[in-house]
Amino acid sequence: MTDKKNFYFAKSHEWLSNYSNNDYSLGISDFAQSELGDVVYIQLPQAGKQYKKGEKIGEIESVKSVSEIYAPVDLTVKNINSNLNETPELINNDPYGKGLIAKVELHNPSDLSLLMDNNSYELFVKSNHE
Amino acid sequence: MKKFPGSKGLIFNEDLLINQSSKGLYGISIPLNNFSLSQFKKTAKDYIDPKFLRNEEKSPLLLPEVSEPTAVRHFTRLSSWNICVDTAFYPLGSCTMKYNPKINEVIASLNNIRNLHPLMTAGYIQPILKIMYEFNRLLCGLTGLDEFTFTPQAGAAGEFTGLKIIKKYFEVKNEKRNIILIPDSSHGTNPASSHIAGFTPVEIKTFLQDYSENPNDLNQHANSGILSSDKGGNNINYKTNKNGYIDINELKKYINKDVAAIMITNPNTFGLFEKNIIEVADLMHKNGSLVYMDGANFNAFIGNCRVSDFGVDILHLNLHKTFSTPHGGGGPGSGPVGVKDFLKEFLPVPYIAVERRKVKNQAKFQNEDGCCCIKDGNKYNNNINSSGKSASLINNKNYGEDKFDYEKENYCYYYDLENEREHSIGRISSFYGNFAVILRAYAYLLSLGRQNISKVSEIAVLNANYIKKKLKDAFIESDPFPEDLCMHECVLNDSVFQSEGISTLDFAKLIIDYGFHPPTIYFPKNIHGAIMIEPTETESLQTMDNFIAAMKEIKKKGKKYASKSPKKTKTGRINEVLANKNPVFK
Amino acid sequence: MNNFRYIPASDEEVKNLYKFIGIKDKKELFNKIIGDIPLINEKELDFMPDQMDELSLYKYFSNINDSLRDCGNIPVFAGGGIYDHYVPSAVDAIMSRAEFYTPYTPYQPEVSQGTLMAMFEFQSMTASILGMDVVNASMYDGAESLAEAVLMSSRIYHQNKQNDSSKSNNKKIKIIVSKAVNPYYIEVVKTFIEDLDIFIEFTDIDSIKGNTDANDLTEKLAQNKNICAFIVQQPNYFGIIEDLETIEKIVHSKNCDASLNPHLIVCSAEPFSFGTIAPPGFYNADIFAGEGNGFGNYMNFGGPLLGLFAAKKEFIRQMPGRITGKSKDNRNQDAYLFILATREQHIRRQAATSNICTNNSLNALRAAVYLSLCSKQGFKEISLLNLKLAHILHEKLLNTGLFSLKFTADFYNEFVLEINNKSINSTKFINEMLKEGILAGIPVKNCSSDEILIAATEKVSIEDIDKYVESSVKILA
Repeated sequence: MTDKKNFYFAKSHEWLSNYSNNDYSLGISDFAQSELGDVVYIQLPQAGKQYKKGEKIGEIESVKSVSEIYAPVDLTVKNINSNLNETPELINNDPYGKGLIAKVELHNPSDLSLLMDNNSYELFVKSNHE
Repeated sequence: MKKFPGSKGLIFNEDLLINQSSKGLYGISIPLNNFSLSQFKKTAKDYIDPKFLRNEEKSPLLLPEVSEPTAVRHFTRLSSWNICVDTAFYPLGSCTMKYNPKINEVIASLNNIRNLHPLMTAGYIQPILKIMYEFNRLLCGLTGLDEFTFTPQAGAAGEFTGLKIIKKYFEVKNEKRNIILIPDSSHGTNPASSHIAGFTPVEIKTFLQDYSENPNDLNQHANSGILSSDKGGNNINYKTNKNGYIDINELKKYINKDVAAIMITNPNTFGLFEKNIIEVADLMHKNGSLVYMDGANFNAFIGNCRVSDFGVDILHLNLHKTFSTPHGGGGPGSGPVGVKDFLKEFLPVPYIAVERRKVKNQAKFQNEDGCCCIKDGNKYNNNINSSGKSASLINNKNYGEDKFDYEKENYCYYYDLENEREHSIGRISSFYGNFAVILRAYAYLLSLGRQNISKVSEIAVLNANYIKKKLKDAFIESDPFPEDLCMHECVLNDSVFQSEGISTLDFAKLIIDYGFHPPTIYFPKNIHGAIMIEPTETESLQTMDNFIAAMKEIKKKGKKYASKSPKKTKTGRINEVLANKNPVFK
Repeated sequence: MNNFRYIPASDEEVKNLYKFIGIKDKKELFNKIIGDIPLINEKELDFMPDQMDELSLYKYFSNINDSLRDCGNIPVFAGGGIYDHYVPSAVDAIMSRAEFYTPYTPYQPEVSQGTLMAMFEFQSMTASILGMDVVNASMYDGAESLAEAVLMSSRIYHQNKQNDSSKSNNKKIKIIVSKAVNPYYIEVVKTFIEDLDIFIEFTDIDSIKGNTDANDLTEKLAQNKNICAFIVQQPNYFGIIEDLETIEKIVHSKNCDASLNPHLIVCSAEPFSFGTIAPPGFYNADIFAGEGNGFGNYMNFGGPLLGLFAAKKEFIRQMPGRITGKSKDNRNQDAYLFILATREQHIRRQAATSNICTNNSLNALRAAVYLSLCSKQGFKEISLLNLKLAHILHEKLLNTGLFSLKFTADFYNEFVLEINNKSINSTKFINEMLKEGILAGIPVKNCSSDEILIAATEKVSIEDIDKYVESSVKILA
């Protein structure tokens, strides 16, 4: 099981996790993927593009739903996980690892303070979705 | 032991027809023309430049190669894999799967009628134009509106047409209004049609307590986060509320000068009549906005009340629902749009105009052009003379004319297709909409007549309430509106089934094996795991009792079968993930 | 209360229903539900005719049918978007099965495999005829299909522009449309785009040849910016076969960045032509939109028809309408179902690729049965027969000296002629010909009143053609 000590979560269920300096991985939470069901398609963000907090960066589709992925903070997309084009099920199987959506650079790392840590996120999920 | 219609029987296997090909075979009779030898010998390249010709290598024509009997058996076998209205109870909520009268099919297949070219000279097709004109008057009478257009080919096209009319109305008034208010329980076509008509749809929440998190969300669209839309599963966490109606105080928050109209489904998709509709309409009208009604559920009150009496300015009807025309496995439909007087000028073209013309030759019954025309006579005169020139079946007062003695004056009505209208939104379809569907619906109204028209909705509403009440003992916790009478359909949530370990989807698949088509499921979206049952007026008490018994039995012993059902059908549950991940579409 | 045959509730049962739900009568029932809104009283239903028994109803419509024998049962040389093709009896026999015409949209695939598999075959067969990758499960008609193609093209254009961050994303975009596209189609497209920041520019036709003027197209492409699509009809409104090879090269080489090239949208009212001439897919068309009514459907006075919609595979997620796909069931059998439903209104609501829900499914199934009967050989032969009969008529009419050639380019099964006798315009000629028992054609819309658009299908015989010639001599000479 992934250690989510250094993960930051948004209310819209995206996560960010630091891997070097200002560089972060971005994905969606395990709770989000389980609620979506089998992911069949993902529209990835664009490498090189800047997104403002709350801006739509992509879309995830299961068989009968479409969900938007938002930028949890101001960021620039550096690389996208293009494996997801062929194997979108990675989001279901390994949401915090191989199912990450993109590598991004944060414009203001201090924005992270606006997000939840793992414990708060779990509480948030519990209180809002039960 | 209760006997349910679902049983086992021989199911045919059948391969794709292309896999049954034998080179050179074909199943069509090609007309043998008396070509001269030289004509016979000529091929395409004798007539056109060879560079235009189809090249079999570069564009192979992959059609089957089979004889007529092979093709007929193929499709007949395929048909045996379908459940249809004629074989099973089909209680799809919001779809009005009523019986499709067979005489209407016979009428629509009369040879001269179905072979009519749409650009035929108007003088030759007076009876056809008259049918459309009179059907128009009948719909006006039933709704209290002033004119209908038939050019929209289905409900969604009707919505688009109505919204375009709204757009044009404000354009001519020189007002800029971009917002269409839509309750969140609406059909998806409402926001989609608003969008393509160039409006911004704004959803009104009908289940207020579920939207506490962020008040700004109120002005945003449905997909506001990863988990905001249903997966057809059970992820939505709305808690049902006693209130299935539009809340006036809530609505007021949305009203401003940008609001062009409200698009309202009545009865709404919970099967409830919007009790506040007159107040809603007043609020809108005071704001200078219009009231559009989605008439998908018109079967709930046809013949018993009129939309004009509760402030509707524009309405679309679905002839393939309320007016008994077959759904055809997905279409064709017809979505006539009716408006009040002040919106007539915006209706699409073409439309049918009628004028009085002097009858020139009484014996031959011809007007000035020498074309045949139709004589209109006494009220309710069903007589038809030998030449088929029928008298009007409809009371003349509906033509909006003064008393006029047609017999004495030697006048007749002449119908024509008009293509100009000052502020018309333009053309919506290639020709005049789905005439063959209109014809069936017209025949349906003639069959019902004055004597039976109000019985349709009366029995539809009675039947739905019967099911609702009959299910109460076993499903009381699932009824979101236990205190209300419903209209033509009733809605349950999944709480009872869930406590038995059955999802709504499982229930739907299970009831198939009992020999019923499942009700509408997971709609409306704000009822958790919704099950929406619309029996219509054409189902008997025995059928409904049988269905209710099946529902209760499933509740009792469904769990262990649930995920494997259906078992008696040609195919079992289908791998949707595979199909959507790697689409195979030909 | 009277018995009515479609309503299986006896008086006794109705009484019991009321009793069971605890309501006295109809008045109380509706008053409880609808509140203060007035109920329609009996007198207010006066506008409704008396109920008709089935025999009277049949007689009534059968008499109307008889009165139309002079226009519903004569040789039809009118086209202009709808062509009078023969419908084999087997099509009617199969499509009169209630299992096909009375179900709803197959959202429950386990009990709808018949419709779904037939729809899959429809998609496969029409895709092959058109040479296109993906065909959807039908639209309403050719005109609406074309309007949807324009909307789809504009979506893709905006998406591509967005991806190309170096370019400014101008909301206003243009479509260029050949003037030889069916005028009704153009009118419908105009209705759809009027409030959407999409603007039309027309390309001229070559007044001698009757096809789209390639030079003018090149100019229009150079003069305009933000063009999402060029629309051309094949064969065009005048029946002329367009030079799609040349057109495609011009359209698809406008920009150095190919992703920003306009889409080539080919529409057609007569896809029977593609049994003889090369299909749109052969010319690398991006989207096809057309009228498939001729495949096994009656003209029905203009509806229901069959909207065909096809596109390249890469655009599948932007396509409107339902698409049938193939999968496996839990018994490992082939099984069919609707796929990529997330494009559609019931899931994506206002962000859907179209508002379409009910389509013209039954008409598509008719086409599937028809094309199966035709098979490969029959389809080609009937296609050729159309071409041949039209050319024979064309030649014979010109030989009378009463008509002049309007356009010189090659045509398929429809053509424009000018009536030489200036005292008789095309409308009058058509009316006079109707008295002779022939629907001779249609006036050419938006053109000179002495021009007539004439089509031939496999349904007309050499005798019909000879009668056409004789009658026109009688009327015009």
